[in-house]
Amino acid sequence: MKRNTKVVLWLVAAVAFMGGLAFASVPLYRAFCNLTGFDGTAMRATKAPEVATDVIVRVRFDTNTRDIPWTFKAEKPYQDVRIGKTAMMYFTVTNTADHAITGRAVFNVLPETMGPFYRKLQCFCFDDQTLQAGESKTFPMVYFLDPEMLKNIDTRKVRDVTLSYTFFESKAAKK
Amino acid sequence: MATVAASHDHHHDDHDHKPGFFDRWFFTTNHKDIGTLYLGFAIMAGLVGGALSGFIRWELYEPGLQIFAKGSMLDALGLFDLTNPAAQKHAYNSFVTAHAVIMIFFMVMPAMIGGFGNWFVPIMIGSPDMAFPRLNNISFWLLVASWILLCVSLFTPSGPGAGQHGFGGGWTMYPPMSTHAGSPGQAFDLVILSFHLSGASSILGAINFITTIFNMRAPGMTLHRMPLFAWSVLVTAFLLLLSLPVFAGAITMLLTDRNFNTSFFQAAGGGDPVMYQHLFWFFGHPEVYILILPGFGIISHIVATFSKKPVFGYLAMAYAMVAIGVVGFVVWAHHMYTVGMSFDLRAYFVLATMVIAVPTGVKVFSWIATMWGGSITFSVPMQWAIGFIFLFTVGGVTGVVLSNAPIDYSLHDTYYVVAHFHYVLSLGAVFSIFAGFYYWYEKMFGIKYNAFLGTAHFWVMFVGVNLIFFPQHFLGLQGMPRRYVDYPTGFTYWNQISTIGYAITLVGVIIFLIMLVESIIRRRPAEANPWGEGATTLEWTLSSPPPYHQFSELPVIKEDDHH
Repeated sequence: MKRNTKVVLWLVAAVAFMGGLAFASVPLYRAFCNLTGFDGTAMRATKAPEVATDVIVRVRFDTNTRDIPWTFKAEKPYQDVRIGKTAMMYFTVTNTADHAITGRAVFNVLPETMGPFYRKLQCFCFDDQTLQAGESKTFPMVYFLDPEMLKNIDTRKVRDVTLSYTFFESKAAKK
Repeated sequence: MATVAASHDHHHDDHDHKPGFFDRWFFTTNHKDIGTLYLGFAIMAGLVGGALSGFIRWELYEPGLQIFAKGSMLDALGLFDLTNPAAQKHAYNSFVTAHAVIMIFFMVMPAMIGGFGNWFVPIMIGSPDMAFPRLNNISFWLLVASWILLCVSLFTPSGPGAGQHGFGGGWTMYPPMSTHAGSPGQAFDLVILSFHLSGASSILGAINFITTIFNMRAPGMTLHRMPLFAWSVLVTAFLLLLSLPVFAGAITMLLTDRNFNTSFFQAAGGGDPVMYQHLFWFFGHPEVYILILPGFGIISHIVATFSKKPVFGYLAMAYAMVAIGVVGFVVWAHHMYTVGMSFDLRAYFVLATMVIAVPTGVKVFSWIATMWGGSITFSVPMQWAIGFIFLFTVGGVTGVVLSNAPIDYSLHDTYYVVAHFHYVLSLGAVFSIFAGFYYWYEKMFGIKYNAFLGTAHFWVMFVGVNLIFFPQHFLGLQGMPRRYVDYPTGFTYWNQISTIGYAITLVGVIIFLIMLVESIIRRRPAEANPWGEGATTLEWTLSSPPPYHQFSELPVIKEDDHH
């Protein structure tokens, strides 16, 4: 029986380890996405590139809301920008409800492979936003397309990028 | 010839004392009785799962809604809500989901691992029973509880529309279909709990098998002398042990997302639904090898027995299974080429996936090489085994086609994929189960079956399943998507051929049931070894059926009489 106990302890440890890995994978995956821009995770940047190129890319803006009584619009549906040049777009959000609501924008870039090269310097999506009843706010979003994208096999021919935002009611604020 | 077991019986009559009916079948800790319970359970679940697919094929015989419609035969049963179009479509999807789940978790796995594994692994390695007989009993009854939860979920409100019952999001259960927004009712929560129980059952079973195989082999039975079926169950048990906890984690996260307001996979709270796909397929891909590996072991025994030759390349065969198991853990994302991975990542998964064709090729080659120059008897199990090799190879070839990311872009979620995995599983795994069933039937139950009925079962089934699934390749290439209740009229022709194939397969299943009944009524006594000199593994040294407790004196395995 001693021999069996030993084997069983190893096997139970293996099960516990793999089960733990499943849960650990969530923060690990998030960290991995933020680090690499994997799966269309648009990246934060602190500094704009020094050189802009002559290549022009059309950046489209898609705005949605889900389960929140807000209207959400981009100033223009799209913007043609030179790769490497810092650009800005305004987004307007209006709270149509009769009470204050805190929301949070979740974002994604298509094609997903553009994730690492769509870099934001300033964005309202980094934090929760609270709007009073009937209040309207305009947020700037400052970004640039990293010239490195021209060297990447997945993105060197991309001339059309869509940035999609969805406003949800903030879960953290709800509690 | 007096067998080892028979001579034991003379000295220890009391050893073969069997408990009464209730104690024997409800509280049993005997590996053979538990194996029989598993096999009976698998046959029952297989008939239910097969009936569900019958409704699917019946519906798809013509474009438009016929069966999942008001006033149909199915509606007349009164079990399913078919009052509005959304509920009708949902009923179809919940049938598809239940068919998949039942066939995978309640038919193939119980038959192969629980049934044949419990019956023959201890005998083949010369052990009196499993290492933990009572754990074995728990494994079986957890599966029954899991089955009940799954069946209840079919009749539980799911939503989001009115009258929608049963979870309709496929066996892959991707969010957002499986989140609270996609399926607000309780049906999916029951499915999750059902998976928790069957997962616990399989993990306990895996622990039991690994401990048995590591610690309870007879003197002289080294790992490298162990029969290939025991090897296949060992590799399968490791795959279960390492992949199921990840699956359990993933569905637990779904459960908390649904009920406790977490956001593991909900974009609203910053979660990522694609993360679920990674976790699911990290389990799901090893799972498909779990379904087929024990079949590989069974086929190796049968091919060797009826070619009257030891299996060609024994060590290569054993380590090919180990290689398939190891590589099977690092190819999961080939199920999700379309989620937008980078070029390099896709290139890696294409390559890794194709590498699996190498050990699989080693196995197919070795089966053919075993037959080569052998004195072949085309007995019933051998027919099924050769049928398996053919069908599995067809499915393997389409698998290599699908492993290419660029081709998969257009074939993803079409009937081509359906045809592919049914060739390797519905035809491959199921044919190996039938091969094993006919190979060991006399041994397990102590009665002979009618070989003519077995042969008829094989040929009718062989024609039927090919007629079902081969045309689905054409439908897939023409772009017919999976998981829809209806299709454009252009797809009618091959869908009708496919449904006719189902009808023929149904005849095959009826022949199988007749075969069972006939053998039970006639009760022709079995021989200890009906297959002659080719059958060399330890189960053939025992009587048929084996004594209730075998190997009171452990057999000693010598250098030259293994596998």
